[in-house]
Amino acid sequence: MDIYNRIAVFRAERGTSRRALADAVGVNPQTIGYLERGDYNPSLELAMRIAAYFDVAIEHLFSFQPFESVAVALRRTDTAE
Amino acid sequence: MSLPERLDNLARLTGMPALAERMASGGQRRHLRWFPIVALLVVSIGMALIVASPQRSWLGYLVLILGNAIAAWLPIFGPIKPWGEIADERERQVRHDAYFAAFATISLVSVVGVSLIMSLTLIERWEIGTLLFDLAGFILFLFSLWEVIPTLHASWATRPIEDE
Repeated sequence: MDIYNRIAVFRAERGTSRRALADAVGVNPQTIGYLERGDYNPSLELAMRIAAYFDVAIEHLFSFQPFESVAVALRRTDTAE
Repeated sequence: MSLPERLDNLARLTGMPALAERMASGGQRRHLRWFPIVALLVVSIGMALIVASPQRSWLGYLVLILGNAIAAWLPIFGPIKPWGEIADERERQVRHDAYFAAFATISLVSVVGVSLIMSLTLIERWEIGTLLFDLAGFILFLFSLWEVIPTLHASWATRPIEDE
């Protein structure tokens, strides 16, 4: 089963490099790249460590459904206002 | 100086141990997609020559050793970290899958290869020397597979990640 994530979005928002995140959660920087590309599904332990690093709930980072894009989310917010 | 120490020094002269240590201490590992295929082709041709022409099996051995020499570099530069080197969960998964593929391949090739050599021994009425020579070549061929298949599997199972 595919697991979608938005690690890249959180990383870009915080200005965190792949290496910094990798060092913080104890993996190789390439592994962060594979996670972001969806080529590797993390263990529960790694997923929780990444969520803890960004200080968000795990379901904000990982989902069985594709996350909506930032543009769609912004458009929805504008419409609601 | 004891014999093992002398042998260690001889091995160090080849430069391979220093290279392996450099890779273990953070050297860049890469996807090697074509070198394993070349090595596999060369060792397969060598093995085929040994089996097909016992009179000229020296030529097959030459090709087999050449292929084995190419294969020997693959675990050093390939994408799989050797056991004993620190690897994260994805790297351990890649290594697990790659060696599982290698064990499965080697098992299958062993059964087919030994059956073929047994059959040829009976059909061609090989002498014991020819049989032993072919079996020794087959062992070298299997050893080459052990070096080639994990790198081949890991290099094609994943796409490389570009540097940030």
